[in-house]
Amino acid sequence: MKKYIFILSAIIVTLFSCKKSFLTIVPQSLATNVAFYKNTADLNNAVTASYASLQGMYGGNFITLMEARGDNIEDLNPGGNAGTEYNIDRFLAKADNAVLSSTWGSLYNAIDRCNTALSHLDVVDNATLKVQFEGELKFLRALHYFNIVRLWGAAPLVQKPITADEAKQMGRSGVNEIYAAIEADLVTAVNALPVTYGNAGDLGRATQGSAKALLGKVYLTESKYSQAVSILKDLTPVTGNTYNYALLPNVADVFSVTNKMNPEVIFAVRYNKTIAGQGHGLPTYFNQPALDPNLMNDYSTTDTRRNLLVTTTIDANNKPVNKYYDTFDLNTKSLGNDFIVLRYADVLLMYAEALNETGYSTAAFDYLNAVRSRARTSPYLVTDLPDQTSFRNAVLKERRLEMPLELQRWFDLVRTNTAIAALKNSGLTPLNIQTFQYLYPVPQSEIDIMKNPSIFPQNPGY
Amino acid sequence: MNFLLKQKKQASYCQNFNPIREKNGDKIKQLMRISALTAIFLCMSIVALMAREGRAQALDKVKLTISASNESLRSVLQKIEKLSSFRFVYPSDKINSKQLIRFSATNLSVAQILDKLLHERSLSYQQIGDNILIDRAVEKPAVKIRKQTRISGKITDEIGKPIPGASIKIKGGNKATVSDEQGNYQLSAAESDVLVFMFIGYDSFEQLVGSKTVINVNLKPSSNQMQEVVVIGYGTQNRKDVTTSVSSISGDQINNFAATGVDKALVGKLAGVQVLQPNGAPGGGISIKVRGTGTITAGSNPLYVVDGVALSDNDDNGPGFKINPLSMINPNDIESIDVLKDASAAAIYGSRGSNGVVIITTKRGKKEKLAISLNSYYGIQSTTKKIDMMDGYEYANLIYDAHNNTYFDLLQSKGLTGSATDNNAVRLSKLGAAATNTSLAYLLPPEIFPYLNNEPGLTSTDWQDEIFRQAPMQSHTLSLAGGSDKVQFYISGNYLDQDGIVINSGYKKYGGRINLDAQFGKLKLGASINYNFGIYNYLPTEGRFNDNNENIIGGALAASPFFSVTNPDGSYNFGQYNWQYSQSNGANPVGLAMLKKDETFEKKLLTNVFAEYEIIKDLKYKVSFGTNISDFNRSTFRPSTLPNTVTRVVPSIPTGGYIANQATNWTAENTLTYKKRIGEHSFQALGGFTLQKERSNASNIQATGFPNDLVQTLNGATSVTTFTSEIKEWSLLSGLARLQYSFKDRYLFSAALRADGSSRFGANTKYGYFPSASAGWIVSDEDFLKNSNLISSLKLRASYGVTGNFQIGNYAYLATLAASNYVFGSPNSPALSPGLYQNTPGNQDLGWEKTSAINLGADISLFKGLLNATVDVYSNKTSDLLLNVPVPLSTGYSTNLVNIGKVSNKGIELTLSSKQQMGSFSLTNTLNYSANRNKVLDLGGVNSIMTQAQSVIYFMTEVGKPVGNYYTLVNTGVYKDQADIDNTPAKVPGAKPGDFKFADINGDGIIDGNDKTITGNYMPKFTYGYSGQLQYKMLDLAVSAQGVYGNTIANIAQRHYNSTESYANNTTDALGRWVSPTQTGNGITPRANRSATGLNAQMSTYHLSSGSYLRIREITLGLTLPDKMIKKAGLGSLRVYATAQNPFTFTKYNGYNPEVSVDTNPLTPGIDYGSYPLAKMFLLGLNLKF
Repeated sequence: MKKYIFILSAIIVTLFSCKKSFLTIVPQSLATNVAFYKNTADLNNAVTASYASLQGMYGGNFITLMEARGDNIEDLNPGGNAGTEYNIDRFLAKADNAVLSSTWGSLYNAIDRCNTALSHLDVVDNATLKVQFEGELKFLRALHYFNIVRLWGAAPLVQKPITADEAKQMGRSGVNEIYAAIEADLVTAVNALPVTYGNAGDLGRATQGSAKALLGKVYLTESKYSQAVSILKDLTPVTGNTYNYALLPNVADVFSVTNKMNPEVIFAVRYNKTIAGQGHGLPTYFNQPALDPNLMNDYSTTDTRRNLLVTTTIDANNKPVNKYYDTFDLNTKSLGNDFIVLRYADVLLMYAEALNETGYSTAAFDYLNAVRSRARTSPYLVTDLPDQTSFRNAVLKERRLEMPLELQRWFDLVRTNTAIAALKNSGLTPLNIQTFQYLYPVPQSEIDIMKNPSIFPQNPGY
Repeated sequence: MNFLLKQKKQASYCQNFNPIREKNGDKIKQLMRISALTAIFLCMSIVALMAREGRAQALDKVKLTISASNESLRSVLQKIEKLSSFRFVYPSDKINSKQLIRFSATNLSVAQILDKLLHERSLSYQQIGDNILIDRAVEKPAVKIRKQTRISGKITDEIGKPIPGASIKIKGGNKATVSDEQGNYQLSAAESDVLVFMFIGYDSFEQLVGSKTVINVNLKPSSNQMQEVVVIGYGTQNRKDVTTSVSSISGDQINNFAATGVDKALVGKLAGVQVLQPNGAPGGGISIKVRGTGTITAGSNPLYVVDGVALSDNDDNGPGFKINPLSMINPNDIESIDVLKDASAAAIYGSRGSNGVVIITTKRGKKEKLAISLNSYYGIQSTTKKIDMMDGYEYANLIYDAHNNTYFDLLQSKGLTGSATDNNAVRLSKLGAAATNTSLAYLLPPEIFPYLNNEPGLTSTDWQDEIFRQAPMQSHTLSLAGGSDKVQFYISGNYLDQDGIVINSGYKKYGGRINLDAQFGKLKLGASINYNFGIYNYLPTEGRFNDNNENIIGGALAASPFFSVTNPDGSYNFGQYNWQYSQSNGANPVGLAMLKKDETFEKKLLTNVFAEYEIIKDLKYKVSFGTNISDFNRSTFRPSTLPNTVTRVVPSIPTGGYIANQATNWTAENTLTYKKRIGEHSFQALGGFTLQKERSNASNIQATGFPNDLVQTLNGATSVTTFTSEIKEWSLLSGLARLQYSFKDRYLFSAALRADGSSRFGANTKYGYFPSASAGWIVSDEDFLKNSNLISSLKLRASYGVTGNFQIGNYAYLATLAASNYVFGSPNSPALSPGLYQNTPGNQDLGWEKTSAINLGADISLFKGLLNATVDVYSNKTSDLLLNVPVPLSTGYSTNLVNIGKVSNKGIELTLSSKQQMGSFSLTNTLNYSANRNKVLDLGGVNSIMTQAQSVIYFMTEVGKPVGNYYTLVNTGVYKDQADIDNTPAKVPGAKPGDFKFADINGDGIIDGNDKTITGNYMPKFTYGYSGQLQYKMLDLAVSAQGVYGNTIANIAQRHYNSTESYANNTTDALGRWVSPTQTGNGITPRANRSATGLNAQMSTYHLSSGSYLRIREITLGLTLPDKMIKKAGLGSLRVYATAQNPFTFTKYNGYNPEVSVDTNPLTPGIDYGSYPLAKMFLLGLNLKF
């Protein structure tokens, strides 16, 4: 029997000899942060992931928050997604609305991606790339904060990776403070980013032009008109052809899926429907949208932009507006339109607006009319718009005609303080709204976690 | 078969008085005076007394010193009882003698004392175990002297262990002996004698001597409660000595009935164990909850331990599909199932015990001649319920109303008027839409007109009839058991073939088991091998009917009756896929079910080998090694004949997928056990180490671009859309110790400690310690209760213990990176650029979720065993919850996984049973009841967690309330008319007469998202179960029922089929809809409107429903054929039975199955989104023994 005891003991010894490392398991299919952010290639991956944040936001909730909220389209489905989107469209949304918390979360997650990458910039050994990465990350971070400040106003200004405890100490920074940070980031980006990338494979990365156009929009939103004029001027023909942006003769070509990244596009969120995960579905509100009939009636009979709002049938269920027309890739079952964030027509209209705000002048007519003429609509004469106010109204109206469903309208209405009237007079369900509704409520979950109304209050009215 | 001689009918100890009666006819009358009840009581007391641990001592070995002067015989006997472990049993009239005796003995053996005491009083005695039966001495029978032979042999129990102290006597005579420590006996008997072998707790056995000189006997345990052995984890214990809360179910209760799986056999049988079958798909997943939900984020499944091997918690089988973790176990192989419910019992499993432990023990071979048995059944399944949907004519009217109301609403908002008779062209022109637009909600679909005109003979497809079917199922298990002195085996094979009640779904499995045991002196070896091969045809049924999941059940309810199943050419009709006029575009559910292929092959191997060596007497060392290997692969194919989900035309580009997972989980255990009895002190100690590790390798490939349907494996594809391959591992290193002590066999104590180290936790918190202690007191063994007529046995129990929960995924403590790719470059075809970012913050302090629990229990047997009750009350507190605590989103994360928060579960469990025997009629009733109250005590700083599920319904988990409450609006009926709207203070924006009214919860005068409130919970107030068995001669009848009371279900599938929006077909509830102020309908159903106004479509109490139900689980009528008949046919025994499963369900629930829950997340329970209905089944079966 002794030999059995010997065998059994041998088994125990064998089993326990591996004890030390037994509980330490390194995941084989998951990368951990321990081994990442170590070199230029890692940072390149991190920058790419920062761009990737844009796809979900611009293809998703932004349309609800920035377009359906305005007067161009409306939501007809009170039951869909627990009514969350419908409630935003109809100004019924409260702080617990899931669209708000998920968008707030996506934006701060995108900011965290930028912040984390920025905090590891030192590992980049190529000086040129290091500057470029910083410019790209700060451009993206500025874009995110610009969206945050326009949606919610004051918000936590996070500029480096933070822990939950640190976050709980951070109140909502004031609007001015956030704009100052946005401007600073964009100024850095303007200086850091190239006009174009030498490598064709980099097409789609933010450029110096992207940063300038965005900075111009920021200044305009802030009513810093002269600064807007000076930065936007760089992008217009006035300063020559440094950036090579131009209006395409045919407006439909701007959005064509066979003509992506054309000279009118300054910055776009990019997609490729043939690559799994890189396409998008048909955006909810752009499939047979319930459009404001007044908008449709405002186009002149010759205006080529009206047709961009007409739908074309892909099949019985998919009838996108022509602006976002694409056919499904049958393998990935997705569409591939890029989502244009900044384009040259926008720059021209912003420039015209900024010029007019700095003082009524006929010089501004050229930029406004360039957009009208391209759309085959008769240019405004000075007699049509004899003063600053009439010009201001004309630019706003033109922006609506030029860029419906491009996530501009709601912010334009707020920026110009015309949202109340516009929604009251909409050809869709008329809504009576109040000024406090220019901003969304801060997600209730965030208020609940912070539990500190003195530094983290809810927006007034909610 | 000669070996199994006919057993004496109803052999029991009581009947052993019979020889006396036979020989002493004059005493019969006296004996008759002993009432039947006394006899039963006597039996019970004997059984109770004898059931205690410890083998009988030989009468001639125990020596006593005793003296008595002028005492009764009874009193002297009592003295002997006090001084020894022997107990005397005697018919009271036999020793009622008033005669006082004087007696003394110094260091004499009990045998000598008894000889002295009894013989002179003409009394005889006989030892049986620790009990000594005293009776009138029998006069020597005047029989002729026959030739006597020396017979010897060994008496063993069911697992081959020797039985010392068993009695062997010659039938009809008074010659008897008792087996020794090794179970051996010797006796002289004549060839014509019949030997009767008896031991308490075992059925007696008779054997004709014949020419044999060696007669070895293997006694079978009698089915007596008190003798029940309970598996307690790393060991067993007699039921009597158990001090914790353990519910058990024996193999008999499972084997005689048809059950497709272990879980089915458990339903409703055990107090505090709720077995839910939320999905009726054959072979589909189950949910077992032991004493409520103690967790929020971590898994809530109990730990399953099969023959000592803890099963893996890896149950990922790809999207939508969960395989039942117990599917590999054939119910016919089960010897017993024990559920460790309280923390003290489960603490021996430490970090995995928080949700309870389900221990399954399979049958093992016995030292007996080959026993072959066959268990088979064949049955037909059908749906338990059909939802009452509208037919084509009714549906057409709903569409007509709904689209007209949308039209009128729009006209009204524009200050226009119109008529229901306006044709589509008029409508379009009035509302200024393009004349070609056929998608608008205010147009009338032309399909409805023939129905509105009541044209006869139109298509009116009942889609439920089309997707449901009567489905056959069959199961056959053949088992062989037997063995020699040294080696015993149990071998079984099983085949199960179950078609699903939804077309093209089903489950088939082939299983086999080999259990081997061998003894070589002090060394015991054993092996259990279980192999199972399952084939599943899966159909997605849950979720939205029209998204990419293409769910069959929701789809069938929503589908329009206007469309036929097939086209005239036999192809499936996908007309509704392209239906215009704002109508639903669901895919043909029959087409989906029949055309899509989703086949899973699963192989599972469960093995355990062990060696046990007795180092010195009662000190045993055991080493065992177990593996749990699973391998599944799942192939899917979506053929070209099924329209693509975006373009919806055929032929589509076929897509296919291949998901595979290989998992290997091994366990090594080393335990040392020691047993010792010193006088009245009994000890049992256990110590051990265990190691467990799992490695799984899962892959998922989805591909597209198949040119046609000819090749359906991925080599036929042209491009891959998804490809993942993932290796996951975890390990667990544990030490465990347990000490059990009893004093006088009635004061019982047990304490255990387990230390677990797990790879799943942070570097700082790798180890956890789980102590427990329990105590029991067998009150009925105390003198003051010993002779109670009311209480025949009573045990009080108390326990405290700490357990853990480690079901949180393998790498949750690490800060991991996730891929997030983007495209750069070429304008129209940019190239993929890989992106990576940190997606979890990591937490090196992540540790165990701990549950500490107190349990108080009582086991009581009243009225001489007629009524038995077990009551347990418990209070569990789970702390350090593994909680995904919401953090400020400004960190970039929404949650951090931390140990924070507390949940409590308090409850009561009650089991009542009675057993009555009246001649050949016996009746057993068991009733169980359990109530659990769940309460969140702390959520780590926040007061509540709001969760959204299935994109449409909110849940609120709030401190002070149970986990996972529905959070919805409160519906208060429909507005009767405009005056009703005007008179209701709280306004629903946009509501019109016929729309829903809601309660103004926050009292601000407007109904909106702020009026959502907690409106119910899926957790029941109590659950109950009943099972009854009636036996009369050859017939047996069993009935079991199960019920749940006081829970609420969110039937969100109704948002489509009960919405009166008319895009999907509706239930006949829609016939009671509001039509006009003068025709207000049932006051519950809102008006028809294609574009619902107000908040009709938002989740409210309208979509909630009571989930209380009472279900008759099973009615079985069995017939055991008479022995004579069977023997003639050369068989051992034959029972045939007929069973109805789930024949009746009493419930107000309006969906298919109140046992439903789409989400496994504890925060979002109780959603019905088109679950696979439960089947009812009628079947015929047989249990045949050769």
